[in-house]
Amino acid sequence: MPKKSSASPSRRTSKKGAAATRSRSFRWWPLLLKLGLVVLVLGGGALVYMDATIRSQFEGKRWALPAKVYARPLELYAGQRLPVADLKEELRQLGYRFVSYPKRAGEASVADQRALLFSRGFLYADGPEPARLLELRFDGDRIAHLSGSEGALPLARLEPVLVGGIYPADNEDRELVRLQQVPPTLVQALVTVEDRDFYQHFGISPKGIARAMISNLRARAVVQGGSTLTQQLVKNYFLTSERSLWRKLMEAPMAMLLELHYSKDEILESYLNEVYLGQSGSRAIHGFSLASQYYFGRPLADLSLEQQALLAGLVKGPSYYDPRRHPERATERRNLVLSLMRDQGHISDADLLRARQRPLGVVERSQLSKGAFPAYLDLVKRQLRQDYREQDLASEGLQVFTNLDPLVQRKAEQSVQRVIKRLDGRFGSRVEGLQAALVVGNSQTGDVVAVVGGRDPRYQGFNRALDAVRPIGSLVKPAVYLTALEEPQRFTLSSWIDDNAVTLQNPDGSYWTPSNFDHSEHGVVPLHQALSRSYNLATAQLGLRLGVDKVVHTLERLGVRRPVSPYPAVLLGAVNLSPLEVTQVYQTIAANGFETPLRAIRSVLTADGELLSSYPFELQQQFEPAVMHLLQYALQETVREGTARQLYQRFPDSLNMAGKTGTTNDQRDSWFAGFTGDYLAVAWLGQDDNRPTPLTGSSGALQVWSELMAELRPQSYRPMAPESVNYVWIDDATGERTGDFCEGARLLPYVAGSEPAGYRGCGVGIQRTLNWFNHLFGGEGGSR
Amino acid sequence: MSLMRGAVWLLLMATLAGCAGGRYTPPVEDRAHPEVGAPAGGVVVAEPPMVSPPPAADEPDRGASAPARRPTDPLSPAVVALLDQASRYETAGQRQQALAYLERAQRISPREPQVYLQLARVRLAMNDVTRAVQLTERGLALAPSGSQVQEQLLQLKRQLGERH
Repeated sequence: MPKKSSASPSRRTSKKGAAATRSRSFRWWPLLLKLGLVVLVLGGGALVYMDATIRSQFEGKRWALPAKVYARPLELYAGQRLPVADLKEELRQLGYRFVSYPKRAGEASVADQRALLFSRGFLYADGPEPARLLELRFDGDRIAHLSGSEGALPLARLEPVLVGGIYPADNEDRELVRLQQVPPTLVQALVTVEDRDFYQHFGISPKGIARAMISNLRARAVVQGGSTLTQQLVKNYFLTSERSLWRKLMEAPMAMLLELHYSKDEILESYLNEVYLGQSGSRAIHGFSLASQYYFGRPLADLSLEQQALLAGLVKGPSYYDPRRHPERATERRNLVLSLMRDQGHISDADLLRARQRPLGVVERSQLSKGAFPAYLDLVKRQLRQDYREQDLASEGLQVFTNLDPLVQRKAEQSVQRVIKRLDGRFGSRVEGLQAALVVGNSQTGDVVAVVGGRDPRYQGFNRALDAVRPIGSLVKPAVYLTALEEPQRFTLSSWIDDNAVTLQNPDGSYWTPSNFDHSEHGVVPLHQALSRSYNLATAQLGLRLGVDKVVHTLERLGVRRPVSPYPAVLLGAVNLSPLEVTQVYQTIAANGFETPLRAIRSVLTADGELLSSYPFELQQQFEPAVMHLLQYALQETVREGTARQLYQRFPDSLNMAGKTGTTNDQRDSWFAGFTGDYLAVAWLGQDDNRPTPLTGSSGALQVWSELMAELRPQSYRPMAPESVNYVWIDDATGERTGDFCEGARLLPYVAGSEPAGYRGCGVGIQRTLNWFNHLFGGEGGSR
Repeated sequence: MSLMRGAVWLLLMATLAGCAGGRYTPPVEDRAHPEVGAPAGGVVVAEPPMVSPPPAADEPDRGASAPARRPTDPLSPAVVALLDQASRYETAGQRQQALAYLERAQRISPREPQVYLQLARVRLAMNDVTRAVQLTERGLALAPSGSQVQEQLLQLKRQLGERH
């Protein structure tokens, strides 16, 4: 264009005094001149514009970086219960390479009693965890000894498993990498196969174009592009993906401008982060760093030569050479890259031979983050959205540290699936489509460690753990008894309450006549028994004596935030809550009356590792520990003797647990909420359309809970008796004080001052003489 | 590796510098849950010790086992290391760091009263009396009768009572 316009004026001077024909054509010249000027101005303007665009976009280029969501880091320390299989699973999820002797970060060797691993190190909010060689010795399921290269270590943390991300609308996912972090052989592989003259050319490569033209002419079609890496980058960065001449025309000058302003290294680094390398569902995998995680489950720096060659080869066609779908094509492509590298002198013949023999080494797709734990991530995202804007979550590269324990999560998922399968076998069509939810937390800290949202744990849709808001049935009962026990002068665990028919008028005038599960009345029963056996009539009678309002208030103090209408039906579980909300209620019970908000997120950091927000341990005392201790006794009795006693067919007597079954009308919902020393879990089974099931709390949800605990091998719940609690032997039949040797004697806790006054002794003929004498002369008076 | 070592060294230097001159720490947003509001009826005060602890009697066949107020289990070396590190951060005025280490200790030993004692002290140092009170109560609910940690918690509770 500039040529044309500069030529015009000289021709114009030579055309003075021309003939008519010439003068006719001469009349065109001013027009042409003007046109030329316009083109010149436009062309120049375009160039200036292009230049400005390139510079501003390139320098200000900020990729939208999805927030990364991490699982809890696994802490390693002597004394910790960690089966070797669990350690292996964690390392597998972290993409460790299992070798005979670990020499570099990301390698491990795991045997029966001993594990050696070279951790990668990680920058945590509370400081850096160094990359180091760790040795673990096991004693059964426990770590007996932990040491580093300089001797015994009190503890060490592995890097956290990346479990997901929060993606922008275009679903582009990437992880940024600096050029220095990229293995040089990968750069060599890329340059060799995509743009051999990269370090020589000025943005476009005439040699490359010539090569491409020859092959295209030969094939009479476009089979090869002569695009340099710079041109490819320009294409991705600044231009749309349509294949048009205009785009092609823009590409070359823009590439040259880019080269004019920036160094080869800067261009290369951008390229490495920009390039598209695969598709995972709707999610586009961009950049070599993420691709490394996506295909190999490990960081770029840990990749072997042949893995690097495969990634470099993928640039040409990530879907055509997809190593998961077309392993033969991918292998061929990889080997071609390796051969070219050898030809260029980047690797030796021996390297080539060795690398060609290696398998592709691609990991199963399921290992990758997105979609691995949808129900838990759902909870994380909901908590995040309360505090952050969606666009920040999807673009700022925030690091979100959660409490998710992938080991517990897997076990929780398996428990749900196993029990549903078993129930399918037993009940067939009656449980067709049966759904489930399971929430697992730390019983003391409020950390939510696992969430299962349905029978298919990979399903991304309806999250029953958070959104199935269902009547909780008998799970409400602890609130009724807690309300009673808060008045120790009026109610103790041995107080008598009526388990007789009761008819209640609802506010709308209708009548409600509850019945017991076994459709019988049990007369007068001790309070602890009414709860552990889950008697409906006794609970309704008790609740009415206390006042429904009071019970509702207790529920609120236990952590229910949803408004509850104070109808008498509430006393028997006409309260709709999600499994997560139920978990909150039982959390307060498990933590001795201290309400601790359930936490999925520990902290949020910026992409650079600066602490943005922390979600600290919170607590609010809602009940006196003494009163809660009494309730915990009754909930332990429930699993020892009551509706959940079948648990002890599976677990040893030495394991203390506490919990409550729940079943709603027509067995539409099957619930179990329970806790051990370390875990709290709430399980629900039911139908989405609210159809009746053949399941009670104990034949359904309890099975899931029990299956889970059998896998988790929890610690025993060891309640600490508050100083204001006294344990007293009571005759179960009369509720009076008795001796520990008497038949039917039960050791019950009382809030000090509320113990029964009189001492009855054993009934006639049921003494065990020796004990009886010991007791008589021991002078303890039966009160211990 | 050397980068990491460098980072550790830097951290150490920073800690030392913190001891010397009060290092600046960026303000961190506390995403606390405000809805865990006032308890019904204010702070519940634990009752004073009244009677001797009940004996450790186990009765697995007839109901739940009766617990005892037994002496605390010895702290695991991991928890000791974390509590020590937390103390160092606390002394250096790096309270967020101290809290982070204490929460790591808490996750390992969630029923260890020592952890709650130290958490309460850090909160008090941050002028967060409300949380300090709650943490002290939680610690007291877990502290064995007559133990040193119980005495320390009671002392802190008295101190907090004066601040209230």
